[in-house]
Amino acid sequence: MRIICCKRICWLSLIIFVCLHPAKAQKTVQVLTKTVTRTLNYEAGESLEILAEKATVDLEVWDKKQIGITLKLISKHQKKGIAERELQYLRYLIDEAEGNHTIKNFFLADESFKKVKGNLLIEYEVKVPRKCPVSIHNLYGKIKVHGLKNELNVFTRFVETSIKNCDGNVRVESFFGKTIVTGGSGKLTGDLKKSDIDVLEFEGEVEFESDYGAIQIEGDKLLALNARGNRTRIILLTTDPHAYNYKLNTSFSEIKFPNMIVENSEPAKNTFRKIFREGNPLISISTTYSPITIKQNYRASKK
Amino acid sequence: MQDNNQVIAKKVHSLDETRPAISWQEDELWDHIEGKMEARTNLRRVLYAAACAGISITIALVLHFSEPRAVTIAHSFETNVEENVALNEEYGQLETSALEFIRTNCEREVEACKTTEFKALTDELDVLEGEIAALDEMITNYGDDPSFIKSKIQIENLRSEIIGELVQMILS
Repeated sequence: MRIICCKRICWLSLIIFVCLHPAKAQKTVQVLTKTVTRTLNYEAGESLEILAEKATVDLEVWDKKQIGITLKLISKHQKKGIAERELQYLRYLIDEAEGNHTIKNFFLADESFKKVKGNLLIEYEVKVPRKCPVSIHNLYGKIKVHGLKNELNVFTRFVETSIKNCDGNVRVESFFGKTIVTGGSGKLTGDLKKSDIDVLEFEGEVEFESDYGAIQIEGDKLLALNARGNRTRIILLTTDPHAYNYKLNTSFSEIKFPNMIVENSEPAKNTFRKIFREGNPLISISTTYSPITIKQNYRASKK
Repeated sequence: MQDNNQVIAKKVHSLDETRPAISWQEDELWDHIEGKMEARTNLRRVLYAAACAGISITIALVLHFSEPRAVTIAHSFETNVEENVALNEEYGQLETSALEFIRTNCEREVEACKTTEFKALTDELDVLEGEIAALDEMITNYGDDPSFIKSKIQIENLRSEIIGELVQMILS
């Protein structure tokens, strides 16, 4: 009798739980994907420009003397007819001009157009020779670049960007973005507005201008760091803070050091200059209304 | 009656006499034969070249229109759980009243409003207003993507931060 009662209580609890649990709205969406595949011939010295909008751009290198492009134009809506109609608004251009190849996506509708009812997305998968100079513009989306060995220019607005193991000149211009640079060597420059950037184990010179953002640089392979910020929080993590010389300044905020750099350091200090050893790379940072932090990082790799 | 030999001799003689007088030297004869053969070989070469060109053009056309310029359209389904990403309307109302507070004070020519820092912050606010307008245009063209709403929240957060600082500057 008791067992039956327990069973009933269990079932009743389950039914009550299912009834009261807020059901998450699920919907089946029709997805139409127009895939464009092209291969462009590549000669040494030629460059590639990608002009993207609301796109995910994934760029890698390969050993062929060609540029491989897979462009996916995607339209999603619950009704297939609407998805089909709205797919027509997504246009692309692949221009194989001598010297500079261009890939572009854009939106085009006639005068009667009011508003897209579904969701339109664009995906680029691009493969280039290692030495091909590349420029990528993107507006709202994501960018992943891996392995380039010459020149990379990235211009973004509201974009998450990941740059891995790229050597040479890497330049990032970001507005409301988040950028992560991992590995690589050469010169890294950034013009960042309302954007965050994380740099991990980059070897070479780093130069940033930043407004309303956050900069974090982790690693021991810097040859120089020059960061000018306005209302930008700047953090440097290194295993050996003595391996660099410092010229730091912040207005209306403070500089934070590990005790090993400045014993009995005053946290309210807003200017710090120190040459630990002639020839050490110079860390030159200035910012306003935000702190500068130098941290000892025990996890980073040895120089 | 004439015997057979006599008949043949008579016939052959008369045949030789009646044929046109074409006589070939041996060298001339071979030149003539080789000339004819060469003409036939040239014709064969032209035919071979035409066939090869035809095959090459066909292969090139197949390659040209198949892999490199392939455009395909695929249809699939996706089951999505709707993301509840929305702007807080109540918070927007607070901002409106804060903006009204700033405007009223600056109309009264409060000292804080005249500082460079205050003007720089109000310029930033204008930039953000422009960004919200640009974002709305993207939503019109590309749809209500959750990433757009997240971007809008990013702008709104910074806008709130700046409005907060402006209010603080007036109050301090």
